[in-house]
Amino acid sequence: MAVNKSMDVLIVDDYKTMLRIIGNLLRQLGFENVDEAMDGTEALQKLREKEYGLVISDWNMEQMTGFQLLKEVRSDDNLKSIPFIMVTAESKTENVIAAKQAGVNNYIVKPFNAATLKGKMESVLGAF
Amino acid sequence: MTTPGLSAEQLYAACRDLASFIAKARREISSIRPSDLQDNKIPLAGKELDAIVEHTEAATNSIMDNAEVIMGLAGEKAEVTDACMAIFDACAFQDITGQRISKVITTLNTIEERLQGLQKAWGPDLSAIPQEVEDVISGDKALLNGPQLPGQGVSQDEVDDLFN
Repeated sequence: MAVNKSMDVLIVDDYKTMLRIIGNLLRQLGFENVDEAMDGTEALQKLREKEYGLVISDWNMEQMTGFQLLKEVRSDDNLKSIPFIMVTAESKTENVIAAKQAGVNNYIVKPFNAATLKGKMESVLGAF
Repeated sequence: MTTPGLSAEQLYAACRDLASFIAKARREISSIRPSDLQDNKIPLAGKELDAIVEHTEAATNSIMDNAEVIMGLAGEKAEVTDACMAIFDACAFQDITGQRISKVITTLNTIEERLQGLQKAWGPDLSAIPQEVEDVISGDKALLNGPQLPGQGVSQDEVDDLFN
């Protein structure tokens, strides 16, 4: 089944630069509907207001981390099936394992390039 | 009364050694000037690191602004777009360096807290102990203090004014 590129994508990062980079990469890949949140709390609020097709989140953030956000999403009946990709500088094995156990769909270690993002998105959403 | 196995003289000598050791430790601690580190050097180092984050963020945004302009002008030229996307990829360094600098700032804060504990433990008279080490910087080296933090140096206009 073809990937619906008109889906809403939520990117979560406390660095504006990173939000801009990922946003630009997504738009280059054809995903025009991109929303942003600066931490897990803001992301959770947005996720409860609108239906998103994908969440791309950093791990290390104030207020609510990406890991906490992931657990909140997976424990919420209305949100638990949303594909979730972690994009983070946390590159220890235990982090990856913990995220996987919490239900993350894929995990990208920063710094990354456009090809990596596309590849991980395709592994989660299907080829596009 | 003496400790079993130690004569009064030995006990006195041990106490004298201990007092000497404490006095030496106080001098050593004083020489690192914990109050100067706590009040000046560590906060200044934190400000310098904050300034690094600000400057790199501003530069990164400027690079990305221009890459976006180039992409807009390039239209459908794939090679130009790919090159601009590579620029965006590279700009991710700012996020990584920012996180690393945050960790260094956390470490500095921890050192500051430990110094505070040291000051309390050794009493307020620690700073009154004569300094053995003085950072006397003179000559040309005394002029090496840059780059200045925002607002601390003079602007180019002010420099120009000095020449006119």
